[in-house]
Amino acid sequence: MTLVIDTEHLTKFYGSSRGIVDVDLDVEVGDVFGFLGPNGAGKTTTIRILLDLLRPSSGTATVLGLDARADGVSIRGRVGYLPGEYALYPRLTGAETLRYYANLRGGVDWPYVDTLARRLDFDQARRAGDLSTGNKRKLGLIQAFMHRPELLILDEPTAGLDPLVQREFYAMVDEAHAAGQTIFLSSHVLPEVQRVCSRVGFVREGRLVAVEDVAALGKKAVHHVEIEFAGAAPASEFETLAGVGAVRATDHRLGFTVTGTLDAIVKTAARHEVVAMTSHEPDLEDLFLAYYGEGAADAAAGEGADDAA
Amino acid sequence: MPPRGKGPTMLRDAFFKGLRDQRRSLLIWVAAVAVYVVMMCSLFPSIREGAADMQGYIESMPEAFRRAFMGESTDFGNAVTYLNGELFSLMTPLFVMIFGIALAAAQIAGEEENGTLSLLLAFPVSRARLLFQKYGVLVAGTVVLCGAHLVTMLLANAAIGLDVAVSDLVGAHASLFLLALAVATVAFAVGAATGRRGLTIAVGAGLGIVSYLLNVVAQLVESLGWLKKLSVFYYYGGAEPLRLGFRPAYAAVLLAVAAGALLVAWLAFERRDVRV
Ligand SMILES: Nc1ncnc2c1ncn2[C@@H]1O[C@H](COP(=O)(O)OP(=O)(O)OP(=O)(O)O)[C@@H](O)[C@H]1O
Ligand SMILES: [Mg+2]
Repeated sequence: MTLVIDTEHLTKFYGSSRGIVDVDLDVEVGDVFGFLGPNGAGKTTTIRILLDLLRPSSGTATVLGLDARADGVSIRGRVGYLPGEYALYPRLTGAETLRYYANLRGGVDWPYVDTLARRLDFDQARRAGDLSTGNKRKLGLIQAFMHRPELLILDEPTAGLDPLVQREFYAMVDEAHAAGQTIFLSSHVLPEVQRVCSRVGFVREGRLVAVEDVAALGKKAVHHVEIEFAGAAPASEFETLAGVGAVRATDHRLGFTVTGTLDAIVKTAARHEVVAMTSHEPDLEDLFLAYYGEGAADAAAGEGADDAA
Repeated sequence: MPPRGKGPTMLRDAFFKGLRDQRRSLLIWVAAVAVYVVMMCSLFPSIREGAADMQGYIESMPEAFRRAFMGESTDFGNAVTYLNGELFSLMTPLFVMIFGIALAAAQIAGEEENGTLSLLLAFPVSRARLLFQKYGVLVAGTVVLCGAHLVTMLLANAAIGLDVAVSDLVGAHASLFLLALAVATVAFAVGAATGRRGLTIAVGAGLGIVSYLLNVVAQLVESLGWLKKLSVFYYYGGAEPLRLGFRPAYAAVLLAVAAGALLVAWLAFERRDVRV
């Protein structure tokens, strides 16, 4: 299988401060790859090296089989890129902006641009200077998709989008995937990655610490559950259930974490009168810890796995 | 079809887009320069009448001082002397340099500080291509402003009867253009190398001011005469480009400064990281 994105020992220091360290990334043709990590993990740094906006301190990056540095122009001709942060020309309208970008690209199919704009409910007649954050993002997405690129590199594509537009975006990703396009997107939120991606890479403190198939993730997912009972909280009944941890009980309320399915919890709770029950999506950190144990976090922080054992 | 903006062909690449961005500012600058030139030229006939009285006053000034600011001739009844003194020795180069520096700062540095550069570089356009297109905007803008100055002056020359040789006017404007280009290109290089608008303006303005001062000081203090060779102003013609006319060797120095700065701009922009 050919690799669409292939980095080896990719390292970037900003002066003496760490950007990314030794990132070995493999993205295959047809992947929908989620690049997941907290703020400052190094997602944007990696992406900007792929687009030849930044030059690595060491290591190599290959995109579509071409060297990111030497063949930047041909790579960018075949890639659709949404930067994490960007500004538009305030005095141009959306249509003019897209026209300019299409001209820089060449060979863009205009009716398709209109279709994308309609799908995302983007008003092309407004001046870019008057657009809200979400609408600026929409314009960014349209220009990234407009030439049906082989590879889409999207830095936090859903930041600032309302749920309806987010859903439309997910549909666009699904369709691009079905059409054989490869998608590489960064995100902070696991549910999003689980919703659209086939593979996920975890970045922490500048290092790519793990790459997993998304299908395998759910089994280890950690949920935060809170139950409010009419009577006293029956903490002891829950503490002994498999997968339950971190139990906190106040008079009527019980909070705990569950690894795996919620089945046993629901059945146990059903023996009591339940006033309310909430279950939060597992967050990134919990999932990461569930997957790799406490030690992995320290290892990722560069302390060395040995000390953490 | 999508709604086409005004002049969609102006959005075909970074060069035409750059011109489009400047059309309003360019129009204002051209109008301002034309008004200023017409005003100064139309004052000449009345100055000429009183020139004889003034000459005595001018000649009573310390010679080094006079030469530094006005050049050789003291006869303000001569249009060449008058135009050198009123326009070419300070105000005109000041205008075109300010214009050139501001335009330079709006190119790479401007796009980078505004945050539009990271998307612009997402398209299959090489950095070199972008840089030279942006530089083209700078050259074109400077040509237009210097051209407007020249055209206004040619018209005033004919209408008011200043009796200045057309070839001298053209020569002085060629020097003017090269001065503005040299200073603006240095500023452009700073912008391309650092992406900082403030620094671009500071270095451009610094070069202009220091050059002017060096040239003046070199005239005032005999032992520092060699300093003028370090000044782009000297190669422009100092206080009297209209009398000195176009001097190819001097013009070549200004052109070399611009070419060197452009080379630096290119090499630096190719190598560096682009900020968000
Ligand atoms: N221009 C810069 N100068 C210095 N340090 C930088 C610069 N850009 C990024 N960094 C540092 O590099 C690290 C990685 O930043 P990066 O922007 O790649 O993170 P990220 O994963 O994209 O974060 P976020 O989720 O907040 O967008 C951070 O520690 C950041 O402080
Ligand atoms: Mg980022």
